[in-house]
Order: sequence, then C-alpha cells, then structure tokens
Amino acid sequence: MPLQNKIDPWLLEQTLNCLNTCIFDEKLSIYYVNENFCSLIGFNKEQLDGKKLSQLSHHHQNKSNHAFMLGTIKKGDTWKGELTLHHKNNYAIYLDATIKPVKKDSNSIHYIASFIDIQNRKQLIDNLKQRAHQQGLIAILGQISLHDIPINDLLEQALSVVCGSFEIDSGAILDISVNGEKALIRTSYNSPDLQAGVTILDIEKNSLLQQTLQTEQPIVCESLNNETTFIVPEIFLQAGYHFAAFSVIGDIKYPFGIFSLLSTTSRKFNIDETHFFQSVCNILAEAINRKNMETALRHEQQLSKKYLDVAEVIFIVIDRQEKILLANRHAAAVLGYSQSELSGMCFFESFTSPKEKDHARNHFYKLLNDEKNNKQNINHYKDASPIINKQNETRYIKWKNSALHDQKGSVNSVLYAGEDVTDLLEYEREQKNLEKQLSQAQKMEAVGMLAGGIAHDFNNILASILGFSDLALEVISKDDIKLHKYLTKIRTSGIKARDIIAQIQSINLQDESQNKAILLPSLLKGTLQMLRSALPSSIEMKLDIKNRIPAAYMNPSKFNQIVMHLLTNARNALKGKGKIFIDLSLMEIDEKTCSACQKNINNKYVVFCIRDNGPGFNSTSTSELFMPSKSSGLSGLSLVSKLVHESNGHIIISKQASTDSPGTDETCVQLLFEIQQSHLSENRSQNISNLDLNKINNKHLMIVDDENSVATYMGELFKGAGFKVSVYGDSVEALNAFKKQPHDYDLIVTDQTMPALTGDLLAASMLKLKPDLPVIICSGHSDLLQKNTAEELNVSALLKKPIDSAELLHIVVSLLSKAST
Amino acid sequence: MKNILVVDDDASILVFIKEALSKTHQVFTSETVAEAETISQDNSIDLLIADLVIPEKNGIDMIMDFKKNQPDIKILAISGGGGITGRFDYLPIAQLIGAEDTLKKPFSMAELRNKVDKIFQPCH
Repeated sequence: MPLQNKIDPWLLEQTLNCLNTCIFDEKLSIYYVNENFCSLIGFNKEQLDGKKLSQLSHHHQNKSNHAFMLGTIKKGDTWKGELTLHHKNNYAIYLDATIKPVKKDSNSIHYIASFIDIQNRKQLIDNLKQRAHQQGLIAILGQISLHDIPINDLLEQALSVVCGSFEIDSGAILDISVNGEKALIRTSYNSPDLQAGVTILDIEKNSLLQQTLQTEQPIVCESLNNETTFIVPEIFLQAGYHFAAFSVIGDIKYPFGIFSLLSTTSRKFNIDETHFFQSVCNILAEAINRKNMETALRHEQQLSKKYLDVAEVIFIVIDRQEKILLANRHAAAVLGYSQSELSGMCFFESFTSPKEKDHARNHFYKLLNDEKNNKQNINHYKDASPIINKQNETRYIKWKNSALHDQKGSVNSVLYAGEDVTDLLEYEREQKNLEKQLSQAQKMEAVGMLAGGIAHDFNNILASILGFSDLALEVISKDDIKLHKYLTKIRTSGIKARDIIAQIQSINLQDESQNKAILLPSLLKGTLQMLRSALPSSIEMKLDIKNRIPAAYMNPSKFNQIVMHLLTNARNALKGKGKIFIDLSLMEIDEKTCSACQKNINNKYVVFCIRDNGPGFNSTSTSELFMPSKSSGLSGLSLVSKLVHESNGHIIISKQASTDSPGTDETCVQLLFEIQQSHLSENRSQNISNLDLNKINNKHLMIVDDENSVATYMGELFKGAGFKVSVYGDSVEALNAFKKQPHDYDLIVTDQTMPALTGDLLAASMLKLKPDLPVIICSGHSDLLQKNTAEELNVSALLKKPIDSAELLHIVVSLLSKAST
Repeated sequence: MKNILVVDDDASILVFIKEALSKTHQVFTSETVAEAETISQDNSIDLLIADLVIPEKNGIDMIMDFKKNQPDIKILAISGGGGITGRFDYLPIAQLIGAEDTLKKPFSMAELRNKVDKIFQPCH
C-alpha cells in the first residue's frame, strides 16, 4: 500500500498504545491516559481522573528539574528529561519524559507527554555508579594499605568506608585466638555492644563465626532471626540485628580475622556488593600479610645487625676505592674510631703501617680481581697481621677475607672479617716464657740435688783422704822430711777439697722462696764453683770479691739463677774466647737509673758486677734490651731483670772503657742489692742454727695417728728431741682436746687416713681456730687426697710415707723456729 | 779408757777412726747397725760415733734406739753434711735428739780427737 497521510483512528489508538502516553490540559491536569501508562503508574483511569502532573511526582523528583520543565513547556517548547513519578505502591518510577505542548487553536493548549520506563537503566546506572564508587573505595583502600600505616588504623578506615558505602549501621573486625576458640573485637564501628579490646565471642561449632572461618566467600544473612543453617551468636540477636555479612580476612588456613557488618534493618546484598565486601577483605589480608612480612624482615635485619655487633669479630667491608663501606661495632672498638667516622675512611692509608701497606694492598686487589675463582674467594692470612689504630697501638689481627659480589655477579667490595689476637699472642708469649722459666728452675733444682748428692759422697771420700793423711803424718818419723812434705800436700789438698764441697753444699741448703739477709761472698763463691765448669777453658774468669761486704737482703736461689744467666750471656757474647770479670763490692751509686724499671738510684748497695769484653749489646736504648724477644730466648735480660727485681734488687747495664785492655769496650752488668741492716742469718751449711734449737725448746706438739706403733714412735722421737708431746689415736678426740685449748699447741703432726675424721679435715677444723698453726700431714700411697700439695691443703707440710724421722724433725724445727720469729 | 763404738757404712772411715783413737780408747767398729747392736749387747759402750746416713737405718732412729737401751750412752754424730737428698743437714737434728756433739766429714784427726776428749771431759 502506498504511504498514507492519514491513518485509521484504530491504528492511531494502537500506535498510542505502544507507548506510555499521557495528555495534559493547559492546567496540566490529566486529560487522557492510555492503558500502558496506567499499568506503568499503577493507578487506573478513574483514579487518575483530574490528577495534576505535580501530584504524580515522587518526592525524589528533582525540584529544579521540574521547574525547568514547566518553564520550558509553558514557553511552548518541547521538553525532554527525566521525571520521577509516584507509583500507586509508593515507590519511585524513573521515566524518560518528552512533553510537547500542542496548540490546535489559540484557546486550547494540550501537553502531550510520552514516557519511557528507565527503571532498569537507572538501576543499571545506579549499580554502575555504586560499582564505580566501590572500585574507587577499593583503590583508595589499596593505596592507603601501601603506605606505612599501622594495621589498626587501616582496619578502622576500611570499616568506616565499607559501612558508609553500604549504609550499614555497624560493623566490627574480630581477631581470632590462637586455638581458634574465641574471637576478640579488635575494632568496631558504631556498635556499643561490641567493644574493641573487650568483647569476646565464643566460636562455637556450627556458629556463624565458625562458618565464616570455613568459607572463602562472605556469608550474608538477610534475616538473623530466621537463620537455620548456623547458630547466630546471642549477642547479635539481643542487640537487635537483623542483617549480618561476615567475611574471613585472609586465607582460611591462616585467617587474620573476621570482618563483620551488622544492620538492624533487614536487607539484601547483591552480587556486586558481596564482591566489593570480599575485595575489601582481600586488600586487608594483603596489607596485613605484607606488614607481617615487613616486620619479620625488619626483625631479621635487626638480629643480623645484632649478631654482627655482638660478635667479637671485626667486620669491615672495603670497596674498590679502598674505602670502608661498613664497619661493625667491634671494628670501631678495635680501630678506635666510631662506626660513622670509619665509613668512608681509606683502610690501607689509615690503618696499615708503611711496611705492611703494599703487602696488604696486594692481597686486597688479588681478591678484588680474582673473578675466575668465584668459589674459593676466601683468603686466610696464616699469621696475624698488624694494624695501627687511632691510639697508635699495634693490634694483630687474623683476617679471613671474602670477595663480595653485586647482583650482576661482579666483585664490588671485599669483606674483611678479623679476630684481634694481640692479647692472645701476648699471652702465648708469656706462657712460653713461664714454661721456659719453670723448666729452667727445675733444671736448677735437679742440678742442685745432684750436686748435693755428689757432695755428700765426696765428703765421705775426703774423710778417708784427710783421715789417713793425718794418721800417716802421725806415724812417720820426723826425719823423713820428704814424706812429711808429700803427706802434708795430700792433707792440704784434702782440706781445700773440703772447702769447695762445703760451698757447693751451701747452695742447696737454702730456703728458696724468701728474701733474706745473705752474705753474698760465700754464696757467690759457691755458685761460681758450680758454674765454673760450664765455661770453656778458653774463657778466663777473674773474680774480685772485696772484704767486709755486709749482708744483702735478697733471694739466694734466685741469685744462682741470675748468675747462671749472666754467665751464659757473657759466654755467648765472647763466642768462646775472652775474659769475664766478676766483682763483688760495696758501692755508693749516685744518679743512675735502673735500666729495667727506670727507678732512680741514689744509695749504697752491695754490687755484683759482671763484665766481658765481647761485642756488647746491639741496641739503641737499654730499655729495649729488656723487652722479651724471640731471639734472646731465656737468657734474655727480661728474665734476669725479673729475677733481680723479685730479689729486691736493681740492674744497670752500661758500656765502659776496658781497664784490662785499653782501647776496647766492656759490657758491664751491675746488680744492686740492698744492704740488710737488721739481724743477720748466717749463710752456714746448716740452716738450723743453735739459735733455732734453743728457741724451740718446750714447744708443745700434738701427734695424731690411729696406728698405735707409729704414734708411739713419733711421741718418743719428739720427746727425745726435748718437746712436750700429746699423742692421740683418735682424730675426733684430738680435735676436741684441741678445741678446748687451741693456744696450748704449737704444732700438729697428723696421719691422713683415719676413721671418722681424716687428716685434711682435722687440719681444716684446727686452722679455723688457729690460722697460723703449723700442721704436718703424713699421707701414704693409698690415701685418696684430692689435693696433692701442702699449699692446696692449706697446711704447712705434706710428707709422704714412709716418713724419714730426720726429715720430720728437720721440718718440725724449721716450722717452729719460723713461727716464733 | 772408754769403750767407743763406731758405726759407718764406709769401711775406710772405720779404719781411720779406729787408728786415730785406739791409742787412748777401746774402739769397736761396725759397718751395719745390726752388728753394732750385737756389739753393744756384749760390751758396755760409753760413746757411740754414728754416721747419720746409713742405708740400712736412719741415723736418727739408730741413735734413738741406742739411747733407749742405754740412756747414759754418749753420742757423737758424724755426717757428710746433707742427707741423701742433699736437702738439709742432719747434724743439727742429731743434736736435737740428744747427741752430745756433731762432726762434719771430712774431719781431721785432731778435730776428731778433740771432740772425743770434750765429750768425756766436758769441763775442760
């Protein structure tokens, strides 16, 4: 059919019915509505009769929009826009409206309105808006979580954002207890019933909370009262909540917590809202996770730093420019600068000596450039190498060095890890010295004992020689002059021999540990007799001992050692040929200083001087001579000086012109000993003088031994020696007797192995009452004495059985005479 | 004319002392303590000259024993000086336990005779 200009009214009607149409009169009252409009708005034709457009508007209708619409149509223009009308059931209908004013003639104006339901579109737009809004929130939350914000603040922010966005009354974030049985409110929003840090909920079986923890997606409960799939915590029902949305934060295996939303009004969550909720929880989970990792990392770093600092190891990292990149606390302590000062300092320039610098640098560069050897890049220094610190001290460090690589794998710095062994080396040196000293002292003692034993045998032989020469001289005729002469010579030699032996013996019979008044001439003679044989005959020894030398206060056995060392020195210096002069005199020493301790000397001394015409000492200052050094070893002057000072003396070393052979120099070592003014203890071959024996008369001894024969014997021994003796066979009885009158007893001799109370314990008890009491313990092989020396047992002497009665008597007399001085 | 008993493990010394004193006294000699004890049982001894270092018995103990059996016996202790260990001198100890005098080896004949005379005549 061709295009029509006019159409059938029925067709017109149908056309109208495709749309939602409404026609208003000039007063904007409804003139005509079609069926569609009625079903759209919910009212029927009768109900709409006479209603005005304004009456149909919903309160959501934008007022200015409405005004604009009116103005436009009144002007006679067509208006297109959104109108919100009021459905019969009270909800808003969103419509896209076109209102066109039409004039048939000047009197009648009609407004033709056509509406399109944009409900869905609006919904869609609203949804999109909400989504966009939520995405925006997510983005913001995400941003916030990236910042270094405390977790609690983040949680609070998230809570308020979500509640605000959903228009939910209240919410809370809960912490889960370690055993998973309780949930604590960590932070809450607008909820008086759920107080942060206070409210605790039980996570019961099949409860909402438990379900939440077991599902990855959020749980949304539209009506708490009617919920059947799980148990709702009482507190929610009591608080009047109808709606709840709960989501786990984090992985269900290791949840960080629960995010909960609660509303007093019932509502639904659509898919987007659920997704949004879940996204927020994910963000929080990530943030918390990251925070935990950061904390762990920081903790690790702090621990590492602590290890670095606590370790008594020096850690220094040196870069390619030889600058210190990093130094730990110990490094700072040893090097003398603070850690910040060290940073940037050039290591080799600042801390190695000129001698060492090149060597140290070589090692450094070797490591730095040794790229091939990636695995074996640890460099050990076998010996400790010296560094000089800020205080200009030399410290010896044992380094273990390692090349450090950057991410690309090339070496950019070297780690120097070192141990300061300076003190250790010093200690080791001391130890070696002490060991040598000890072994030397032991040798001396052995030699002494040997000499003593030989001397004794010699005396016996000499007795024969002397004796028979005497006898022979008696029986021969006076006329036999030759025979007389010969026999006299034999006799004289015998006497000489006797004196020599006596001097040798005198060395042995000294009390080693003490300084005492000593007549040096005879001591010296005795020592030299013994040591003379140590010198080859190509070395001449000249002795000059002046008369009337007063006693010196010093240690005789140490003197022997000193003389031995000095003789050894002289002998070595002379290399087998030359002269050694030994002088002993009383001298006034003025304005000199001790070469070792640097003390000023201004006094009269007994001076022992040893001179040799050897090449002399090769050093700039005399004090250097006294430093222990590897080469000089034992006979080093450091040891001599030590012994001299322990003997209350001083030492002066000098070079002087030789009087013996003019034109040459002599090395001269002078030992100065103080004169002993007070009582003299003569250097006789017996160390118990008659003086001693008189002093100890009438002393009271206690003998304690459970073996009757021994006790009796000792009792008689001591009684025979003139002592007052009390003998006890029972140690407990002995102790009781002692306790009654401790001052009555002057010395105790006790057996060790006795029932009830052993000797050492008896001694200990007695010593508590009388600390100076001389006690002698006699022990046998079978005694299980823990400590093995008298010192350890705190007694005066420890004798091993079988007891030599002479030795016992001797010790008793010595102890008693010492005690009474 | 007194009875003198000399105990010493060195035979030459015994000969010497005997020779030196036989003119004025009756001298018995013994190298061992055991023999000395036997001799002293058969004869009344006035003076015991004892070496303090005899392997068999401690000189001190020997002197003590003799003194126990014969409280009046006089003792002259002789010794080479230090004991076996050489650590100290035994002679003063002998004095302590009652030896009248001591004599250090080697001694001359004159010294020996003087000491013996002094013991028998203390006032002179």
